Amino acid sequence: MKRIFLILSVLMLQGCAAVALSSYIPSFWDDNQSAKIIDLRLTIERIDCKAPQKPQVSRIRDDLEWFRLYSESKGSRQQDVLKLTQPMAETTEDWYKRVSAEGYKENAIYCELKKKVMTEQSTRAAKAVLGRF
Amino acid sequence: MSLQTLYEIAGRDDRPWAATRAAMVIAITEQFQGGGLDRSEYEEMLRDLVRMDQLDAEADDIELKTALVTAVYAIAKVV
Repeated sequence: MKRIFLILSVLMLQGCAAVALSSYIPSFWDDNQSAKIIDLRLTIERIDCKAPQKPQVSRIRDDLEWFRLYSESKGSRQQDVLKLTQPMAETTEDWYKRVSAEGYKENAIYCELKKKVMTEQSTRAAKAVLGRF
Repeated sequence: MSLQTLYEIAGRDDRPWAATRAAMVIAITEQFQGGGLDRSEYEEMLRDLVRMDQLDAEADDIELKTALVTAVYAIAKVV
């Protein structure tokens, strides 16, 4: 009985250690995530604020949705990259809602500032995603 | 925080990330004051800046964890 208790205790401690340790281990390198985050950077870099905004924002939105669905499908280890891209998704969603509203008059200044913010966000996110091993 | 303080931060060389962020707040605020942005656009842009801080924190977290795991691998190879 004592031996069973001892084995169970060791197994439970290992379980706790594994859970605690997993919070210190990042997700690993992924070719598809890396390619998609650079696609995003490129799309954002090429935003033309003189052209209609909605199709351009829609493309960014789709790329971010692809990234989210892919990462979710890959498993629970991807929580860090999901949290990383969430602020970008919110920034994009606000933009998309605004340009989709009925009667919205496009504002090139707003577009340029949004582009600037998203360029910063995507640059930082790409550095983190590509920096994994 | 006044715009003057933001201008001072934007001019600092020792904290490039803070200078970039301050320059963004200045650009957004100046556009709002000059009528280039309406109130809802201005508020949305400020929310985006808060989101940038959240993204920065998550990116720092991933980079720190990667550095830790790399260090552990390196030590494990030596031992």
